[in-house]
Amino acid sequence: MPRAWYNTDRARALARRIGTFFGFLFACWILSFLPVVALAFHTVQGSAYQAGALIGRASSRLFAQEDSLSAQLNTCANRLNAAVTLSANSESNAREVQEWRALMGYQSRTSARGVAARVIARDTPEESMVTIDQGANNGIQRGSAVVVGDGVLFGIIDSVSANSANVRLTEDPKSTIPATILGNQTTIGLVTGQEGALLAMEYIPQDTQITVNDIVVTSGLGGRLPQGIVIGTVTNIVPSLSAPFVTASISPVHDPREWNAVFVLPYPENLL
Amino acid sequence: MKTGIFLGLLFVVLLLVEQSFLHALFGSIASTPLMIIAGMIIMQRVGIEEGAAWCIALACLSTNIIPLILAGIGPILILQIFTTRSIYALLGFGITSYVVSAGASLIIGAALSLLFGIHILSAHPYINVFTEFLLLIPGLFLGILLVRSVERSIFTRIAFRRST
Repeated sequence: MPRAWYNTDRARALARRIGTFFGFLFACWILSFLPVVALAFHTVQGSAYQAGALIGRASSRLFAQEDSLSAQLNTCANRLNAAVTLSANSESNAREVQEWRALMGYQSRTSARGVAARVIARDTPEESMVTIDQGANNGIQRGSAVVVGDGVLFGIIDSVSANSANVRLTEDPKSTIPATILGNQTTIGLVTGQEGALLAMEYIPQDTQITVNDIVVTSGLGGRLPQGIVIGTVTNIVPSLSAPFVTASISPVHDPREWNAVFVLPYPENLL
Repeated sequence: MKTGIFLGLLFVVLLLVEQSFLHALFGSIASTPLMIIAGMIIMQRVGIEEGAAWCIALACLSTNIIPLILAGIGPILILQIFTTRSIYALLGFGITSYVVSAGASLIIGAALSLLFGIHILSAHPYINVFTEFLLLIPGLFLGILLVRSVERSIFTRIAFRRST
């Protein structure tokens, strides 16, 4: 009679092997509750983990994308761009702060009421017009004077919409501003724009005392502009023996194209 | 008995290596199924029963049911299909058994999750299974090479002792 499969030598040997295997694992599990064995096990486990983590970190650094040369170059380029942008923004902000401070100084010095505005658009140099971000809704009126910095004439409001206004700069050839010499109110003329940055003061009577470096300000004649707003300084006088008037070249105190913060003075009749 | 103790010791050591060393490595290498690879090699090289016992012991230590399914289908595959002890047979056995086990575990896990709300699958089961599968093949290859070199060195020593 054949023996059952579990009664063979092979089955017994197999059972011994498997039993030993599971018995060993069970013994390890029981032993792991002993503090000494647990400590030893944790020490070995910790060492293995540290070794794996060390190799893992080293390997990840070796194969990491961010360590490649191109990636480093890209990072440097990005940082450079960011630094340039930051620097440009910083300079722009510093310039704007300077402009607003100058305007605040002018306002506090003259107690002028008006509307602060910011240039939001510039036309072609031929037109010499800019657009500001304040309009009729903010009390801006056509013909109002616009000043920058410490009270230097920037231009005159040419047209007004609800939320913006166009300013005709003093350098525009179509601009005519009644002007006089500071400290010599008898000298009168009309300042007009020229081709280029210089202005011209025309229709100055021949008998008027005018010299180079005289300061030209608005005269207030015509009622459009307040009196005494600085326009520029006299740089050259062109005498004409036959004509009844002389012409003076005026250099603006500031280049109006550099300014972004402006102050719109109220129309003279509103000052009353 | 020596075989049993040796396998038990190997089980503990490899478990330690997988849990502490491999899992601390970077990227996908941390997902290397070292214990499953060892179980497959043992099942082919040492014995079906030992391999099955290895897989059952492994299944007892984790919530993953792949080793349990492997313990069930592994002996069938080795006895019926991959009967030789070549490297190609091992690779074929490993790939087939893992695909079947992983597929079955995904189906069972999805069914348990849908029917009974029991979640036994990991957060990204398909990615984990695929990563393990990709690492299984080189792991089996390197493992069998290591086992063969060890066997050769042991046989060489035995033959050298007998000859002297």
